[in-house]
Amino acid sequence: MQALREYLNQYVSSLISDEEFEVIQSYFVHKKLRKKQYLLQYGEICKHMAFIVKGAARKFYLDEKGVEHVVDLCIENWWAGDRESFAMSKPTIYYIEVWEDTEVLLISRANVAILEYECKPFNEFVLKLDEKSHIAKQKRITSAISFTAKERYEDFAACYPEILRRFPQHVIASYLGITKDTLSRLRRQG
Amino acid sequence: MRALFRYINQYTTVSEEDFQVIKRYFIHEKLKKKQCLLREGEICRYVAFILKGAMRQYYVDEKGVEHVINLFVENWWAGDRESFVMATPSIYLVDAWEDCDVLLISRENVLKLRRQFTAFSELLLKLDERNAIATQRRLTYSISFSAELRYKSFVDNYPYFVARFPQHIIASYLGITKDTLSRLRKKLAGD
Repeated sequence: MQALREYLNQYVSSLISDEEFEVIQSYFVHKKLRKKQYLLQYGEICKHMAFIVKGAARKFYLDEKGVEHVVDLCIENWWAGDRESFAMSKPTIYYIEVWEDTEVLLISRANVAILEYECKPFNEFVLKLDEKSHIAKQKRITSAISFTAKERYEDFAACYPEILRRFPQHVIASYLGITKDTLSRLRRQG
Repeated sequence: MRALFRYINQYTTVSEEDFQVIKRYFIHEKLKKKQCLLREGEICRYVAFILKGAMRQYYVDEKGVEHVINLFVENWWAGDRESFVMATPSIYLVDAWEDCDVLLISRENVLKLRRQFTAFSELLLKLDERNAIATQRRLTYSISFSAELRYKSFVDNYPYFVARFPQHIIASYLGITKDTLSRLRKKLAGD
């Protein structure tokens, strides 16, 4: 839980007190997952968002031809889940698979709502996180639709060196929307 | 201003009295077609709530090609969030595609309203959530869907964009060529 506290403290304007953190942590459930286990599968409703304490996960979409498209890669201090399914209680179109043995802290939609309402620092945290994540997603869209493969790879390597180190090349290639061959050519050039 | 009042009340509850305070934080402005709200290299000082009109956000690559990143119509917010929040120069241009009526708000005033009104903070949380969902969808569509599926879901989700923007803008938004788009339109019309 200490990881969560340090993480939240990075976002709030004044440090979270012991009492506040007691309340916050009581809404989370700790869970361990083995490598290759699924946190979420196609058709299920995403009941929890998972804060990753240790490990790595990937979120992908499986198209009608059976091809996996990596939509998100998550490591420590990231949140894994499908926001659409979580917020609207509708079946997800994604799979979230744990890529290493992973420890997560789970929180339900109802509990997020309670904390947003009752705990000021948590409310502040969610607003800041949303802002940050919106910016990152917007960048990713711009990069996916307007950058060349080379620019996309360089941008990714500069922003997420740790993710680059943790996932194999075919996963990174899929995340960038390029072929494995293009990726290895780009890596050689770089 | 009534449009803003109705809009906010779709997400949360704001009294007439509170709204009288809230509206003072916004500046009403008119933009002529093609006029820029934001140019590349500028800092996005204001986000614009669109009362009337349509706008687009685009990126111009080193070859001079425009890539449409976002389209906006009435009741949407136009601006570059990254530049707005971090006060860094924008890589985008945001301009009016039709004559527009907008309400502008600065970052400082957003923060003030957030502190002063719980309802405003609730509005932002809800908008951010919707936004996160729409952006995630857009990302998944653009990296994993075929051009046809991308166009179909665009038409289903945003029929009003199809009516308001010309084909080359929509093609750029979808990341496909104009020719592919007109082929898809013909095909779907025939189905």
